Amino acid sequence: MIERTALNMKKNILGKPLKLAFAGAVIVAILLFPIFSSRITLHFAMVGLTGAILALGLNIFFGYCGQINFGSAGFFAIGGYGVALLDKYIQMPYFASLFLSIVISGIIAFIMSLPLLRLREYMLALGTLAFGMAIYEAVSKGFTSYTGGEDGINISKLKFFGTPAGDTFFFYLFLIAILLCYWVSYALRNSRTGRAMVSISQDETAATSLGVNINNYLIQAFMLSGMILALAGGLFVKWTGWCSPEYFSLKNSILILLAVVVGGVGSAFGAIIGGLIMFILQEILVPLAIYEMLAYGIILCIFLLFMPKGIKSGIISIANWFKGANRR
Amino acid sequence: MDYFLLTLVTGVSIGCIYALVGLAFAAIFNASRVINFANGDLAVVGAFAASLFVFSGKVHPAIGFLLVLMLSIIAGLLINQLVEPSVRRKAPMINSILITMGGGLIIVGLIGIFTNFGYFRTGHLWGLKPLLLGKIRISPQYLAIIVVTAVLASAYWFFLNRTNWGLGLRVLGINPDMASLVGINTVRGRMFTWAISSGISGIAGFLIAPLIVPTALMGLPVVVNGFIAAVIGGFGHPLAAVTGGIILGLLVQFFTAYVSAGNAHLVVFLLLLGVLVFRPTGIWGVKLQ
Amino acid sequence: MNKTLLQVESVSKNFGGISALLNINITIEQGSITSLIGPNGAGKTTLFNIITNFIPLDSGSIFFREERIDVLPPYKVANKGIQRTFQLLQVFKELSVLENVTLGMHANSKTGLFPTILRFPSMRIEEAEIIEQSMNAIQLVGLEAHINDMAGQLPFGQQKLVELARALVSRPKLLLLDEPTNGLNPHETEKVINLLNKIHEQGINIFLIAHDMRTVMEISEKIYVLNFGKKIAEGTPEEIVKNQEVVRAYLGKEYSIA
Repeated sequence: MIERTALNMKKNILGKPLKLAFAGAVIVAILLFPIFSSRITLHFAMVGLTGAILALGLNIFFGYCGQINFGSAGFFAIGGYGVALLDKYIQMPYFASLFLSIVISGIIAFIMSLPLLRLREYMLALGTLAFGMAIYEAVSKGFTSYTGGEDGINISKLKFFGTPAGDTFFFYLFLIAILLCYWVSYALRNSRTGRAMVSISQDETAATSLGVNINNYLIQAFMLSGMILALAGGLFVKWTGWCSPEYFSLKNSILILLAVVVGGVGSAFGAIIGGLIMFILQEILVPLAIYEMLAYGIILCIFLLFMPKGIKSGIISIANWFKGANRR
Repeated sequence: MDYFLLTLVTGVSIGCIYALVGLAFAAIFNASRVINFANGDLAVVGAFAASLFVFSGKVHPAIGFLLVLMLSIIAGLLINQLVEPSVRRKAPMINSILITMGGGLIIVGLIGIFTNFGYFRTGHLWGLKPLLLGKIRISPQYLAIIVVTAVLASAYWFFLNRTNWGLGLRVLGINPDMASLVGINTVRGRMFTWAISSGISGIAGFLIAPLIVPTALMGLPVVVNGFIAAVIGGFGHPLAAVTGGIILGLLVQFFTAYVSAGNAHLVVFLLLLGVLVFRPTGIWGVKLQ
Repeated sequence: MNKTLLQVESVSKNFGGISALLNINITIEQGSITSLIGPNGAGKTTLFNIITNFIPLDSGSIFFREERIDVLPPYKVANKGIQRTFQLLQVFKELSVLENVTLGMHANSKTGLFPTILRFPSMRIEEAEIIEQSMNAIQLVGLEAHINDMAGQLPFGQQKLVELARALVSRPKLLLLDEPTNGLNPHETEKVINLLNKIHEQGINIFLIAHDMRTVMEISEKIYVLNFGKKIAEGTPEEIVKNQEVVRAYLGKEYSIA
């Protein structure tokens, strides 16, 4: 099945065996990355990987179903605080708390979907925005006795047989998570359920006339999306060892949105790329924090106005333009 | 009793700020089916312009007011131009929402760079002497806000319902194709509405600046609350937003004063949810389809 | 044995004071091809919208296989076996032809989220069947060469075929076609007429709105005529052609013989 971006024009510049070799080299490079990279580079990569998971999560709701979610950081927070609180108060083993946080996120997504998913477009934008902000305010200023407010919560280190797990372990853990989420996205997209979701984003009238129960699928997408976002949260806070409200601000909700837009709305693979790019960019801009907002605004406008199908199509257009220019 | 009065006045006053922003939202929505998520950022432009010209003492407040208006309108028109192509080809609303967001980010980003994301200069327009209401002292700014809002809202209502231009804008909102068929210049009509809307947002920023610590990032709570005000009131009628804003302002102030300061946002969120669930078209209903 | 498939009973619909449909009674029998004709604005598409419950009716009732369907949400009506096409194409423009048609099988399949993600064998079996049926439908309409093309990039006539394939892939019990030959050249029209006959032979009941008299006369077994929201005639093609009211409705008073 072709992806929604319909970019199934395969450029046959490389022959098949060469392509396989190239892909193989990339995979090996990724797998060996943590061994050969410096601490700092690894740190950047990990943030990028988190972004990839987040983007994959949002892509299911925003990309496949075409619905706005301005509060995705809220679910990111549920995952993070779920793990942090379970660790702090009952010392639950990590993978159990991770699993539980994801389930809780799904339940909250379900509850929120009941009022929110009757709305569309701008109402949904507002509703999800308010949701994200409510969560942010709740953890930063609301229940401060439990959540430690702005200071956040310290999380115990993950240990295997007494030795703490290092960055390298988490790198592979994040990779596995990305593969899992990508696989879920791919399986979903190329199935009856996924097609129904995409049809909703294309034309609700036609979808309904084909028997698609729109509300049903929106709820499912919202829940799945929330759960993947929470997974990212649970992984991220355990790696950093600290859960703080600043991870879950509106800025990050927008960043996740940007990641999906840059990667190409509706493309799971694009989401991975977009997530990597945008979140690594954010880390790079930390010393230049003043320019962050301007940068995001410019990127958002450029992609929406000129590259609505994401960076892949943008590169292909530029490449085509060059090809055309050469011929002249 | 006096405390009650104070809370009441500040509630209405802050509510008026939300009302103005809500009005700005409704104006643009009615004319072009776009939700201008950069509305809050336009208020920031207003506060920023005020800090540059009025509160720095360089310019007489009346001229400063005009400069605030001008800068806000220019900023608003920039966003309008960004979003026009999507509006013209009737693209899904998501596109225009995201584009206005992007535009807003650019504007605030620029202001932030300029001010190093620090505090804008602010000041007092009415001297430092507070007014006396009964036994409580209150800054005249609160009353000024209420007065200006009343004036602007009435002027807008009058314009929309009693003038030909206003009629044209209303037709534009209901059916742009029909509007162009009867000779209304839809592009200019939208530009005009955006100008009015951004001007109002800018004034809102100017009005609230002396009462808070304005920064480039103040746009966010403004946009959320302004939007909520418009939702509560209903998008159909421009003055619906005013009702919504005042209700919201009273609610927030009373909750903060009498219950708990830190959790006001939760109340707002619950109110919003309540409205969305039980009466999504708002108090005054009639969402223009 | 003619069992009644669709029964439209005394259906009326007002749009703010304007009567779009007034007391309409229509019976569609099992195994039939029926046409609905009438001048522009007669209410034909409105009737389709009401049958599929995209617009609620104001009074009357609709029975499908003796079950009342005007109280069901639109997606459930589709799941009962009624499929429709639209006058102005509602093809999924950014999806491929194949994906469009596989979506037509939605009403005929049932795999949910869990089995999909966990790749249950039942899901794989159903998916294979969906693809097979879709390929059949695409072959039937003759679009095999364009399986992976983006539907929105095809010429109009072919997009109409995509929508048709999508509507019939789920083997609906009743196919509502809104102007299937609208905008097609004579060659394409002929193709569609042949297709409709072929589909009918395979056992699918057809209820179609058409303006092209040739189509209507060639394939209909029964014709209903609407004018200004009222049924003014019903009968076989031969009867309709001779019906004075119909002639008057279409051509105006000057052409009536009486």
